[in-house]
Amino acid sequence: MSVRAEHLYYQYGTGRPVLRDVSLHIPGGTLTVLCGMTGSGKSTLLRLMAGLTEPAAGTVTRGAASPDTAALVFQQPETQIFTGSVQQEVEYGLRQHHVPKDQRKDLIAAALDQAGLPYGTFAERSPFLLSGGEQRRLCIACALAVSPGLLLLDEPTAGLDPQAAQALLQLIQELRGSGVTLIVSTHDLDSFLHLADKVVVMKQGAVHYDGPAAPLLADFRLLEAAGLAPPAWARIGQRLTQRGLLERMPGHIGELLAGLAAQPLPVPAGEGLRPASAPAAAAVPLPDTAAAPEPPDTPAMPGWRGLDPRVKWLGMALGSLTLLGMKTLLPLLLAAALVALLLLSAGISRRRVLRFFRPFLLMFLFIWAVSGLEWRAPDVAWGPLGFSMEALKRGGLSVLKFLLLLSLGFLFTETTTGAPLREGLEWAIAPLRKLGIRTRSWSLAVTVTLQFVPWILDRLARLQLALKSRSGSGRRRGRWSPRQIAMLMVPLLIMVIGMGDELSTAVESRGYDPDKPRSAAIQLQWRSRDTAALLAVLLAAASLWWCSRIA
Amino acid sequence: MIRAEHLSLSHRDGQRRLPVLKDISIHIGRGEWLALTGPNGCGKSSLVRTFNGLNLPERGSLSVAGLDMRSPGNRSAVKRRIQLVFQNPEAQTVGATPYEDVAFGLENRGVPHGEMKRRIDGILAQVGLSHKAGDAVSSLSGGERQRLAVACCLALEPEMLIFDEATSMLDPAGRSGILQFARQLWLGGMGVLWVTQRMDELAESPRIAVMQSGRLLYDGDPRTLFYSSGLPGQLAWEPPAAVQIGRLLQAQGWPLHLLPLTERDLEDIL
Repeated sequence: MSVRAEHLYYQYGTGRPVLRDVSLHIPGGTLTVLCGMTGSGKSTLLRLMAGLTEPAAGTVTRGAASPDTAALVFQQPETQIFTGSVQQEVEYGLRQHHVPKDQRKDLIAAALDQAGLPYGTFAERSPFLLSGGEQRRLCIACALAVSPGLLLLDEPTAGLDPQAAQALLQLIQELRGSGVTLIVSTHDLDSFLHLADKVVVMKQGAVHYDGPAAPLLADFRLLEAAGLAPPAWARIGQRLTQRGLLERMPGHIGELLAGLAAQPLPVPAGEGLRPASAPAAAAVPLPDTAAAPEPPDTPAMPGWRGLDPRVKWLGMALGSLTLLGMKTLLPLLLAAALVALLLLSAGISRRRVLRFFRPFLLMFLFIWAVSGLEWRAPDVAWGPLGFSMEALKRGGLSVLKFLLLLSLGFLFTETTTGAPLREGLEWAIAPLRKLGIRTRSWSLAVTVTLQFVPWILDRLARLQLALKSRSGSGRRRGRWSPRQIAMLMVPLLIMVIGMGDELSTAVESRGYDPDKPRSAAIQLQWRSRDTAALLAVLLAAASLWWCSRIA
Repeated sequence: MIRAEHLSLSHRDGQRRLPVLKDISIHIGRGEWLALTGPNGCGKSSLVRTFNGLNLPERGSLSVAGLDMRSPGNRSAVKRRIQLVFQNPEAQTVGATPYEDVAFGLENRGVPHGEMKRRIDGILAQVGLSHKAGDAVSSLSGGERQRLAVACCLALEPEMLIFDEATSMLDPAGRSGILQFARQLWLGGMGVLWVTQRMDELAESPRIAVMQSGRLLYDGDPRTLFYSSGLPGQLAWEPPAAVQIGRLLQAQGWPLHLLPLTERDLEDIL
């Protein structure tokens, strides 16, 4: 299946564009190698070509072909396995593609065999307990089962041992031989360059080179300018060719060896061979050891973000208490205005605020509607549903109160991160130490957990994308079914537990012991502006409290 | 530094116990560079985790820096002296910024506040991350995050660093940056255990250990491994280009006193 990309643009959020004016034509039945440094846009381009993500501008068209399915195998296998057995894992995609049940078993067995996982040995095993290399082969089997016309592989040999990598290269060549169009994104030019019908080199989101492999081997500057190094055999081949010791530049290591066998190098007279054998010890300067900007004790941040975390703690505690005491609309509206002002001045991006509040808004609207339901004597009736105005008002106030409490928490965690958050937390819960509670462990656990919320969201997004890539093209834009949501939760949980395990290992091996005293790199410093801020907090809380009494 | 005799280890899998390490004996001296390789799942990570005190050896003896690793007290003492850099840099970050991340280990060691800043600045300069001291860790590249992981290990002043396939998720630039940095540390006297799947990295190591199915298959110099052990064929390796050419030259009757392992070696010959 051929693919044509025209003037593709893509960017995440409001950041720098990841793809800029990318136009490519991939002929059907060919193997294209996509290379470039990390961050050059390779993975995003694969997603666009697979039809999993819509470009911001430009088009991707796939040639009419049978089969017309595209399958993408992502780099990390753990973000694309979902079910309890290898057989079910492959079957999921077949079901999504409406393959009748009686045909599935043969297809599953064939795909597993093709990927090097014999059906008899692997069908009943749990995908989560396979080794990394086996998991990767399973992901490939899942892609092969639906007989894709276009197969996209993201870093397929990363982390594989040489034997597994060889088997994978063999499989890729077989697939190309059978007419599948392949696009492989890789750093492993040594393994892939000589197999490529076409090479696309990406640099900073744009196409730096698009053509056959030979010109890249004739002039290394093309690769080097994109931050890539030519394969070792190519460098040796070039040197030998330049010295006339080899007739022409070889296309791969086999050609180089054959050339040397056909035209043996003149054997030098006498001795004088002293190759160095110690590991390369060239003292290469590291990229940067430039003068450091002074990291201050507490990071300087604009506006009220840089306040001592203790002020923020007290503000949050007082604000929450005041909110809980409010029973009428006016003080709640005043508090809402104050919170909105704080949100606007906190320097948090709008996208982040929206991402946090969107799910809560929907949930709170629903709770509000439910709280207003009245069956016996409704003030307003809407079909079979009746609402009481009084109950709606009461429910609305509670929901608003809850939303404001949530906002205070959001403001605190968004404006206080890392060490200041940990020190502030430890200060706030210090009295609990007398009760035998390990306050040090708790403050560390909360800080690290908050830090990993973005990581968890990122893994969830990857899992969703992987599940989407397994669905038939007609279902790719639909909503998630409860079954699919349940499928996402198991691997997410496994990844979170694995991450927790690795992190606790890291924490332990860095000498952490909750029973031993520690020193502090960042000491909290109470400044005069913190006193002023605390007075302002007290004043605001008192005013709101007074307002809630008289209203 | 590390002396293991007939070391065995198994993991529990339901009712059964799966052997992970089988009768491994190896001695690694202070300040040595050892490359460890073997197929996925052969027990490399289990072995290095046993060296660092994260796994308890079941049978055989293991002493690290003269301390018997069967005693729990000794295991925690060894953890600081032998530091591990894992494959996934994300799972090693505790602080929100490089400055805070390096500070974490120093805080645990009780380094006085007055001395903290100087020490952190020194370590960050050593790994080339001074200009990113206050940036969010999430904004660093993969290579920078691995350098930060090394910095956090250095804060504990270890005698040996274990890199457990620490470059396998990096692009070529990130990979060579970490490798060069590890070499600089090694030249400064640090012991390095470099776990890898890459042939070119093996070829540049003075000593190589090869594992398969929990056993140590080979422990010796790279020339014997690549030219006369027969292991590369047995393990379906494609040796580095320089070795393949070296074998050809050998067959053509070249008087090779030192067999080439790297491009540099080959350059010297030709």
